[in-house]
Amino acid sequence: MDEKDFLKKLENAGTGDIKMPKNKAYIKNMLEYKAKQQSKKMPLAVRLIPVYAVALAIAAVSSYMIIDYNNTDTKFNELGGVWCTYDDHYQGGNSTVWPPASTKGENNFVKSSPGSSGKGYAIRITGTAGTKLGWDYIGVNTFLSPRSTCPECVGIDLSRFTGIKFKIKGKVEAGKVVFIFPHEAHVIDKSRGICKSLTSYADYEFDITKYITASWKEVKINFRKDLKQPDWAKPGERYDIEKVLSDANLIKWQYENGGGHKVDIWIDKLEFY
Amino acid sequence: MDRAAEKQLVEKSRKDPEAFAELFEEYYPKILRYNLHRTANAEAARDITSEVFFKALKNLWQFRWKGVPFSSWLYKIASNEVNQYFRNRKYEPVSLEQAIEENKMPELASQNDLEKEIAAAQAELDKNRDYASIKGALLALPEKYQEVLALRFLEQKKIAEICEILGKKEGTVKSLLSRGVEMLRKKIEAGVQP
Repeated sequence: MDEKDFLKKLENAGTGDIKMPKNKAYIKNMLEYKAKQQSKKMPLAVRLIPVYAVALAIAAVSSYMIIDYNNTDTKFNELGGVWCTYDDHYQGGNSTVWPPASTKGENNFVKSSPGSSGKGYAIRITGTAGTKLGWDYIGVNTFLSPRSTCPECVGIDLSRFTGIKFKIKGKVEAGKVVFIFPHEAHVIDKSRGICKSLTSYADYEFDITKYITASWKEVKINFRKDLKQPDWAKPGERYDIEKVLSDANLIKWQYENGGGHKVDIWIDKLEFY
Repeated sequence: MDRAAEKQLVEKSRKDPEAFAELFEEYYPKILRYNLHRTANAEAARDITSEVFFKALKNLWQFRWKGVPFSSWLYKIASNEVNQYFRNRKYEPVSLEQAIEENKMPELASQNDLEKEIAAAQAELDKNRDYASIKGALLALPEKYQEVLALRFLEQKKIAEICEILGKKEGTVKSLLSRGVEMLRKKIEAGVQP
């Protein structure tokens, strides 16, 4: 038997789900009894602490969450959210981005190789900033759960994390690259078919241009110390960072102010820490 | 269950242990299946599975999110319990027995019914010809190969999750898989029994 057939045989050897419902119910009953015992022993104060505060307490011990280590070539990150690129065509701009941004709801995203360890994959975008708008831009974003895109627009709670880190390399001819932490509503902006921005896109951001060189560098962004909303954010569009972190839909990397110039960015090993 | 819902349920269970029943409902079939594959013994698998969930309930406060599913932690506990079973050549589901002693026997099923169900499960396990053809050779391998082979081929786990479950690096897991497949194949061709 050749290796391929042997491996197939191994995969087929997995049995289906063998059900033992009476044993399952028996064990469940015992577990529920034990859980009641455990619950009674918990101090009243702990039982009354809201879940998010418990999560914060656990976070104090240190935790991290992988967003994407790019070990596989898929449009999805390890949180189940999708990667996509975008440009400024909606506003009449003429910037170009690769992989191409969606025009009719399709997703053209592909990963590039190799990743920062010399194997696997990475997130790569290339493009040219347009010259029509004055605020021409392209970018790449990733959603933080399968439910974070339309139509649900549901965010995840990142408040137990200190920040985000990732590796980056590339070339920025002119302009800047910013990491952006959008704040979105749980409703769709029907004119654009995307989740509605609560800040009119005056989101928390951090300029990472200086980190982008020919060799891979680690970028570590502290949510509470490094991220700032831009000066042009209006009073009604300013939010406490804790609010933004508690309901996070997506994160973005955006090239802007390039005015006709090119950019090439590679991103890998993304995680919340 | 998607990751966000899983996370919510785990956090809820930390605060309210009685919510753990939902996690049990979700993961019991998978963990039982893994234990059946590893032990080829329905009674042992049932006992080990019960112990996995009792231990998970007791130690839920220690669980840390590391970007892989909660089930990876359950598989880790299961792997450790299965390895104990092989080392001792018998298994006592201590937590379940203690709970039975403290609690009154539920009237969900008689002991006879439970044993009949285990026997039926064993018969079903033995009926799977593909599994039967590799079972002997798999159980004859050292534990470290059994673990990775069962997780990769019988449970269809990805390498990253296997690394997290077993606490091993990717290179190590791949090497164990490669050698394990080779060893398993040789044993099957040689007609090895455990």
